[in-house]
Amino acid sequence: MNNHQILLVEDQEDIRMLVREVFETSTLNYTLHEAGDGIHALKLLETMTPSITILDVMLPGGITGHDLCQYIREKHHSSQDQPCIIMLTAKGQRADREKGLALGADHYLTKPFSPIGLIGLISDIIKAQVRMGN
Amino acid sequence: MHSKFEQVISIGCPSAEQDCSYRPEDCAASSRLLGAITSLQGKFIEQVPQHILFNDILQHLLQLTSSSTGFLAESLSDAAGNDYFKIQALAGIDSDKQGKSFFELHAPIGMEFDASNSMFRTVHEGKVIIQNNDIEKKQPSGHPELQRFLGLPVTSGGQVLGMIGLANGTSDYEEKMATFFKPLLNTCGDMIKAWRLNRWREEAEQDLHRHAMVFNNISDGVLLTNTLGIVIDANHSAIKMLERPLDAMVGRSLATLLSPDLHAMMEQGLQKVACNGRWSGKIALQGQDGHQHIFDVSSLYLDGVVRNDCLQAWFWRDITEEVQALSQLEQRTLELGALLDFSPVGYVYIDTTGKVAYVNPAFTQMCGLESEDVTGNTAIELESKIQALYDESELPSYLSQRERGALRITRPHFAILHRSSRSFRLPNNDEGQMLCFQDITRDVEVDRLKNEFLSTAAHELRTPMASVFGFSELLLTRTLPIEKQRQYIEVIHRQTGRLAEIINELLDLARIDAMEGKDFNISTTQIEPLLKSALDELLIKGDERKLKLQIQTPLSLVRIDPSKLNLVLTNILSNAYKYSFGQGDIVLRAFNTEQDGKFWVALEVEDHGVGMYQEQMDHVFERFWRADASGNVPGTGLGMALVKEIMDIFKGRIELKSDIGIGTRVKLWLPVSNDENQDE
Repeated sequence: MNNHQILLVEDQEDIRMLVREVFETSTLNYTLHEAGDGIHALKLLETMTPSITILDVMLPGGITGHDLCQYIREKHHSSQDQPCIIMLTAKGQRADREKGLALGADHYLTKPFSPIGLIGLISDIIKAQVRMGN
Repeated sequence: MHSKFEQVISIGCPSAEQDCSYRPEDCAASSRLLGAITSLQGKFIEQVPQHILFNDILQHLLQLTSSSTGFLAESLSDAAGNDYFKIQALAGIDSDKQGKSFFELHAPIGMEFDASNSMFRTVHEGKVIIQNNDIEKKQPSGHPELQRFLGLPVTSGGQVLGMIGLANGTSDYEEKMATFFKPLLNTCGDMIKAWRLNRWREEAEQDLHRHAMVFNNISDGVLLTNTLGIVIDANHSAIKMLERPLDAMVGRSLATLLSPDLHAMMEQGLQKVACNGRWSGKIALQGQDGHQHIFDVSSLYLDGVVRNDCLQAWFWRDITEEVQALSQLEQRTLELGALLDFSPVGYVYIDTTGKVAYVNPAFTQMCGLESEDVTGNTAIELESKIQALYDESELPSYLSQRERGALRITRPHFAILHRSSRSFRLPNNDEGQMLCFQDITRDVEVDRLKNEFLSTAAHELRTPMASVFGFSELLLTRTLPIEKQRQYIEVIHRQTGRLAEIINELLDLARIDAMEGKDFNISTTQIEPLLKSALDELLIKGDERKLKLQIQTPLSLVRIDPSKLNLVLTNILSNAYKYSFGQGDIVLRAFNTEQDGKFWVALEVEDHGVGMYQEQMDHVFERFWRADASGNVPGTGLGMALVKEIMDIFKGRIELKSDIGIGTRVKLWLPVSNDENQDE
């Protein structure tokens, strides 16, 4: 089974810990990379290509989750295997959701969220990616 | 019409040898004449119709003169003063030839003929016409039945009132016949005169009646006075207006009927009319109903109406309602003007010709377009002037979307206007249009801020909630070692505390917003003890740092709410703590100072922490803004917003200085209590 590269960009330490913990209790074969802001996330993205990226929208330091989402989509625009992007944000208004999806997010989750639901969604995505021969 | 009869008369033929029954010496004739006169007078008294009497007269004359035909014409004048005769009766004895007499055929009743013709002028002058034509001179084409003609004037009191024409006597007519018939002709003249007078009287009565009807039924009051102002007559309306019966007015001076203050006015009216025939003025009278009535009075000189005196007519018209309506209209116009002048809504009135007729001051101020710039403009010209007030490049940066249906202008200053218009039909059926411009800039801005705040507040509440929800879900669904469980519960506990903190501070802010300080217990306070207790509350166990308090004594008294000042100090001091990450001392200084001619107590909190960039400092007082948004530094982002609100209510000031890596200094200025300011 492949080792799935997963990137989590989230400024709140507690939420990062929550995601980390729920992954630990799962049976997935994964490597979780964490970034607390956009600059750190960009650095990570230079060295690795995550199959799944979980993005918070509001991030310190000027680079937002929206910027990162656009960056990933542009970087992979010619590639057949599009990495999956999940937005995980407290911005819950309809306009926010529409903007996120328009920028290329595959899934839009609002806080508070179910960690069990999140891990379920990720395992579904992985299964689908495996079927596609990834 | 006249000529035909003239022709008829002129072709009269001389008589044949005919027996004439007339004999002036004949006693029988005299007695018949007397009988005829007596009978006529009797019938006249019995009021036998005029035409029957005329006929009787003719019959008597035909018999007395042995004439075969005759007419009776009345002398009249037309409007131009031309005299003429009008045939009023006809008679014929031997009308056997064609069943009708000559006059019936050629000069019927009602026919008029000119009295200026030489022949009739003779009669009109009171003389007799006699034509006894010679039978030999008879013309073959003539009228043999009119061989002899006698024209007799009918007079009364020397005035010719008519003529009687007799023809075809059996013998020649003689001059002395006229003398003989004079009593009968005079009787006939008297009758005509009497009828005429009677007719005139009836006509005059009818005229008078008609005039009286008009006089009494017109709504204007009419008073007639002589030139001395003595009332001669008044119509019904005048009686009603002056509230006096006619007999209480007639014979009295018009001036004395009115209150003394109006006498001079009446006198002036009399004089003016005497000078130039006309005068008008307004008179106010107190009615018996207690209300004041206003009359428009005009006076006119009626020359030659009454012999030996002149009449003056006074026309009274009650204009109370008109005056009231006018004054109401004036008042309404003033009210409306004031309303339009002071209204914050901009109004533009486009008149029935489609041009701008009026703009109110609010519009002028809103759009910077002066009244004279747009008055007379068409609606399209106005629109293009308004459009020219918008320049996209001058828009404030935070605005990107256009408000639906709203009008934006950037000159003279940025504004969002809500435009509406209303057309209305004027009494003359034309249409006018009022354009309304409402400045909704503030509403839009408040709405935007409210939405932004709500969305931010929701976001800030969702973040700690995500931890609480997530970790509790893990605790519920996963079997975890006891240390993990404890770790999770710690997170839940911490984040719940944060939620409570956010909610409390939100409520504090909302309360200050809503109450605008009305719930503050502001009193003149000595703040030294407050400063000490605020510091004590903040001491953190195990923290090596020192809190230094430097107070200049004695500090002036300030007007504050102690609990709110404590909240301010706690927020600023805790920020100083949080953002110095365990390094450097924190100093709280308090001292009296003077600035801008006012006395203040300054509180200065200085830390040696991380400091802020200028860009960060610009946002410090925004709600939910955090210098460190990572969640590693506790806080809600509402503290400094609260500090700002409270300081505003204290009428204080906040000064912020910060250098990256060196530290931050927050200076609060509290105004010294007024009593003390006045003392000094």
